[in-house]
Amino acid sequence: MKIIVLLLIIINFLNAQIVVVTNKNSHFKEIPKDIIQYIYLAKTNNIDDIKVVPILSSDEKLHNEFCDKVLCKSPSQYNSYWIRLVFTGRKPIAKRYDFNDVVKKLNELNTIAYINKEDIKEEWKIIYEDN
Amino acid sequence: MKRKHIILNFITISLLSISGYSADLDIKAFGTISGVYNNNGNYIYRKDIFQKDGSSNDLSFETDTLIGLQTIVNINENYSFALQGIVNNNCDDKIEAKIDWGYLKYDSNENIIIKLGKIRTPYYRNSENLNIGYSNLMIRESVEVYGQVPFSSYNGVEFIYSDIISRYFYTIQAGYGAEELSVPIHSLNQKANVDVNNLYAVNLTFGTDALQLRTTYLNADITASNISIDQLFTGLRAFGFNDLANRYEFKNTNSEYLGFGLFIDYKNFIFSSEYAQRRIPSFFADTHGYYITFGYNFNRIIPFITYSKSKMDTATYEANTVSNELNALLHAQNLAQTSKLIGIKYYVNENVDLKFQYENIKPIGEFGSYYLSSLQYPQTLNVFSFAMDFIF
Repeated sequence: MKIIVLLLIIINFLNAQIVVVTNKNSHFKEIPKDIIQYIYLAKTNNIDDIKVVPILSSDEKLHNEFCDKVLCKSPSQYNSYWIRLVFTGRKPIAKRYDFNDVVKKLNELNTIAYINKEDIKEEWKIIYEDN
Repeated sequence: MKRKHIILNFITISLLSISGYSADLDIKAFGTISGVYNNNGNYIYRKDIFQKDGSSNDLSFETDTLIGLQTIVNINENYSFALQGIVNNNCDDKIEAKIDWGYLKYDSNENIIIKLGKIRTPYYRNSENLNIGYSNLMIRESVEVYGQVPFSSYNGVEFIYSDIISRYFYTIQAGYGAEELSVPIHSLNQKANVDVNNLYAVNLTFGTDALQLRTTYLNADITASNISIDQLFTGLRAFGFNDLANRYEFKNTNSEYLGFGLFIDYKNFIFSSEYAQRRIPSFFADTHGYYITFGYNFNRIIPFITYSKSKMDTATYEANTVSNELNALLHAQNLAQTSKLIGIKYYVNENVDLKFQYENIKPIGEFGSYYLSSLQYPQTLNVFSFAMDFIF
């Protein structure tokens, strides 16, 4: 029994919790999951008339988990969806940023990004937490 | 200069001149390399009514293979030029390079997009990305639905408004324009010059990320003519068959198209279905068709099955008028058939996918199906296709 509990703890540790964050001074408080989905699927880019800028991570594992847990899509599905937007002239290819660039980007108000919860910084606030 | 070329040339020249000094130029390539084998030598299997050649008891690489290039020049945050061109096998069975669409776009970066130029007509869910195989599940969309309207773009203006109400998103697309094109009637070795005027299209998409509903309505005044067709109807009137001529002549005919779609993408389950009908009171008869697709997403691998059916609302293949020429023209319009399809898509990486599919097709009625044949009584086709799609 102890071994099973230990394994569960390890699995939980390996699958770090994903949160969506923004600058503490941004206008948003909490954003529900389906609105996060709409933002990352480019179906909307504003909340309460405020323009939101979503940032994608170049960390493959984090990105895949975000696709799976938050967007409820496989990474290949998400990629295919985005390609459709690109090749119908609607959106450019979405840039992916490493953590250092994400930190810089989040200095701008109303920019949002998904990170591992353990990486959160004092100047950020959580607007969505995957439970 | 023809009307349809004016806007396009304006956009092409503007795009080329701007791209000379603009740093914000985005060029992308896409394509499909595909092979098709149809086991019935009495039919030429083809992608749509435009294609002349395809598979007839042999392996054909002409059906779906294409390469394309997309260029977008961002002038500023709100304005951009976009142009997409493809190279594929054309209706004369020759390799042809052509501009598929190109427009000046205004994007408010909030809710509104306005396009001016040559614009893809938003009949179906995948109308705007038909040539981008990587973004689609099947190698080719169901011809029973997607083959009903013989033009895919128009010259004009489009207005798009998107927003969210509570937890639901919606998009309204409204377009107005005109188009001129040449539509082959391969079974009669003819081409019809088609003029589409006063075209307006409205599309509403509504739903959530997991469930979407879509409806489209299109109305246009359409004329299809050539020397043979004109002589046929002039002759009918000369001999006093005015009613017959009025019934079947395709001249400034008010034409309607109506489509519905339901799409579910929930967890790993994929469901999509579209129903479409066209109302064109002329020799180009009324039809309706639908398809139903189920798929399951195993991350990189998606197996899927599809059932499709198209039906003539007027059984033109049974036409027995006083004119043999008119009868032949009406027989050539029978597009009725059913298809059962099973296939698989494999995402190799972010740039390449592989697909394989098998179709069992049963034409309905005399001279039936989308595929070329001189057979009066229909036979079954078994079609095997494979494809590699890429984007860069």
